[in-house]
Amino acid sequence: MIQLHNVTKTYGQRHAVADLSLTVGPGEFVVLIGPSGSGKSTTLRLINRLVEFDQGSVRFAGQDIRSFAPEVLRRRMGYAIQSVGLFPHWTVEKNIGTVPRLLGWPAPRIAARVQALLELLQLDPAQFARRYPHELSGGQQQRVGVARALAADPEVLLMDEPFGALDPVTRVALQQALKRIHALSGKTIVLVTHDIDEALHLGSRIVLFQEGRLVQDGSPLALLTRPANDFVTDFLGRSELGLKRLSLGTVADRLRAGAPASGEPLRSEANLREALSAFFVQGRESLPVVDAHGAPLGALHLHDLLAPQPIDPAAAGSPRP
Amino acid sequence: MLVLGAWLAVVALPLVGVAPNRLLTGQGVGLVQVLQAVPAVWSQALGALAVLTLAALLGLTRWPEQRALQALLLALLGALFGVLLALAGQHALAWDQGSEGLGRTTLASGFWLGSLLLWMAANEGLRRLRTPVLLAAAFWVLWLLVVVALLAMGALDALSTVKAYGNRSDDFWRALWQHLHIVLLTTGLTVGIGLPLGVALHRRPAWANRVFAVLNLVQTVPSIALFALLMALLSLLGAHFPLLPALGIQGVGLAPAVLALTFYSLLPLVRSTFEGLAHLPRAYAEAGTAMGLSSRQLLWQVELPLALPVLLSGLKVMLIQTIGLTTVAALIGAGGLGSILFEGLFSSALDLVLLAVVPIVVLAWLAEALFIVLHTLARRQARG
Repeated sequence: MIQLHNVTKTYGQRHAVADLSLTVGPGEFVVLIGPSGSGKSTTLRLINRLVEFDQGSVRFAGQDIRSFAPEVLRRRMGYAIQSVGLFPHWTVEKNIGTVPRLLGWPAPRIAARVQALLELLQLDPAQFARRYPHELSGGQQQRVGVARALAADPEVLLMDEPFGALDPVTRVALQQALKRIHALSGKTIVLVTHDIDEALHLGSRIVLFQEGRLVQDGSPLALLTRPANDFVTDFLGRSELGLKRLSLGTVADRLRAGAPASGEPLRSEANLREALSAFFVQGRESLPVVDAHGAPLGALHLHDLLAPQPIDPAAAGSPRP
Repeated sequence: MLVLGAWLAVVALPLVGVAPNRLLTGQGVGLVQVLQAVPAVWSQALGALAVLTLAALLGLTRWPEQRALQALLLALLGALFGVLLALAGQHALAWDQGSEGLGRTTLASGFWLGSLLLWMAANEGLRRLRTPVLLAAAFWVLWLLVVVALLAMGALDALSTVKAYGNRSDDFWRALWQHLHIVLLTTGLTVGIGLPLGVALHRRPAWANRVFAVLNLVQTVPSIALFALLMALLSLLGAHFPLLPALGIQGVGLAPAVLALTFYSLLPLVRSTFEGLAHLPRAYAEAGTAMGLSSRQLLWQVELPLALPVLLSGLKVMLIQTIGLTTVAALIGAGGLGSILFEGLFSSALDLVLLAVVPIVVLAWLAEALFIVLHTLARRQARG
C-alpha cells in the first residue's frame, strides 16, 4: 500500500529522517513512535506530501507519489491531527462532508455517508449533525475529526497524535472506537504517537524511531520480548516490561474452561494486566470468568499468567542492525 | 443624567441664531424666546414631552428593569429631537416673515449640544436594553428618517443651510454623486489591489515588513502633498504617453484623486487582511491542505470567511477615512462635497460649509452603521 525506500529529509544540517525504508501493507495498523524530534511526524507527512522528501522514493498504491497531483493524492488519504482542525464556521455535517464535496459526490450520497459515519463514531446524527464545532466537547470534536478523515472512504488513514490532547477516559473510549473501526473496515492505518501504551494497545505493528532513524520494526509482542537495544528497552519502560507484556494478552487466552472459582468475576475480553490487578485486589489465586453478557465461562488461575506467551512467528518482526 | 443635561443645554444655550441678512453677525435666540415667536401648540407639545420624559426617568429610578419604560424613553428622546428641529424651522419661518426673506436662521449651540446629548442618551439606552444590533440600526435609521421627513414636508425650508441648498440644489446633488463616485472607485481599486496583496503577504510573510514600511510611510505624507505629487507625476506621464490623457488619466481631476486615496486606503485594508489571516490557528490550514483542498479553495472556503470579521473592520476604517479624505480631493479639481465646503470656507459662508459637512458626517455615520451590521452577520457566520 505504502512503500518508503531510502528516504531522507533534511532541515538545514539536521536529518529529520535519514535513509528510511518502510513498507505498510494493506489492512495493517502501523504505529510510528519515538521521542520528540525523532522523525515520526515528518515520516507521516512525507506520505501525503505535506512535507517533500529530499532523497529516496515514496510509493502509494504502486505509483510514485510525485506522479499524483498533491490534492488528488491527499483526497485518497484520510488525515486526523491532535488539534482536530474542524472548520468553526461549518456545521459538523458540512465538516465531515468536506472531501466528498471536493470529489463531487451528489448531495444525497454525502448526506447518507455523514449519517453512517456519525453512527459509526457513536454520535447521534439527529443531535449532532447540525451543531457547530464549538458546541462539542473535545472528545466529540475528535470523533467528528476521525469521521471527517474517513468520509470519502480513503484507502489509508493517517493520524498524527489524534488523541494526545484528550483526558485519559475520553482517550481510551476513542482508542476503542478506532480499534473497532479498524476491525470492521480493514483500513490501512498509520498512526503517530509518543504514548507507548497507546501504541501497544492499537498497533498491529510498531515502528520505533530515534533521531530520524528506524530503530525497531515489529509486532508489539516482538518489541516487548526481543527489544533490539537498550534504547528500545528504556523507551518501552524497562521496569514494567512484564506488565506491558501481560497487557497484550486477554483473559480468554488463559481461560480454564468450565473450571469453578469464587470471587468477583473477570470479563473474558479484559487483558491479563487487569486480571493480575484483580487477583491482587481480591487477594485470591483464582477468579471466575464470564463473557460479555455475564454468562460463566470458567476460571483463570494466577499461576497460568506465568506460562510462556505464544509468539506468532509471522507477526514478530526482526530487530534491525 | 444625559437627558437632564440635554434639557439644560436646550434651555440655557441659544437654540438658533438669527441675523437680518447674510452679511451681519447673528445673535442667539433662546428656547423661551423661540417658543414665544411660534404658535402656542409648540409650547404645549414640548411641555408634554418634558413631563413625559421626566415621568419615564422617575419611573426608571423606581423600576430600573422595566424594558417597556426604557423603550418608551427612547421613543421620547427621538420625538424630542424631532420637535426641537421642527421648532427651529418654525422660528426661522416666523423670522423670515419679519425680514422679507433676507433673514438668516442657523441652528445654534443649544441645538447642537442638545442633540449630541440626546444622541448619547439614546445610545446608552440602547446599550442598557441590550438591543440586537439590527434593531438598534433600525432605530437610528428611524431617527434619520425624522430629519428627512421634516425636510420633505418643508418644515425646515426657512433654515439658512436648507436655503443654501435651495439655491444650489443642482450643485449639491452633483457634488454628492461625485463624492460617492470617488469613494466607490477608491474602494473598488483598494479592494482589488489590497485583498490580493494581503493574501500574498500572508503566503510570503518575509515580504510583509517591507511592504508595510512603504504603506506606513505613505500614510504619514499629508494628503495635499500626495495629491500635488500625483498631479505632477500624472501630468508628466500624460505628456510622454498621449494614450493616458485620452483614457481620462490626467494631472488634475479624478485620476490623481482616486490614486492618492487608494494609496491611503491600502494600509488599513492590507493590514487587516494580513492580520486576519495570520491570526487563524495553524490547524485549519493544515487540516484543509491535508484533506486535499487546493490553496485557492482553502482561501475562499476557509481562511477568508474566518478572517472576515477582522477584514471588515479594516474595510470600515478604510471607507470612513476615504469619505473624509475625498473632501480634500476637491482641491485638485476632482469635485465632490469638498468643492462646496471650500467655496463656503473661502467666502465665509457658514451655510455652505454646513451643507457639505453634514452630508459627509451622515455618510460616514451610515458607513459605520452598515459595517456594524455586516460585522455582526460575519461573526455569526464565523463562530468559535
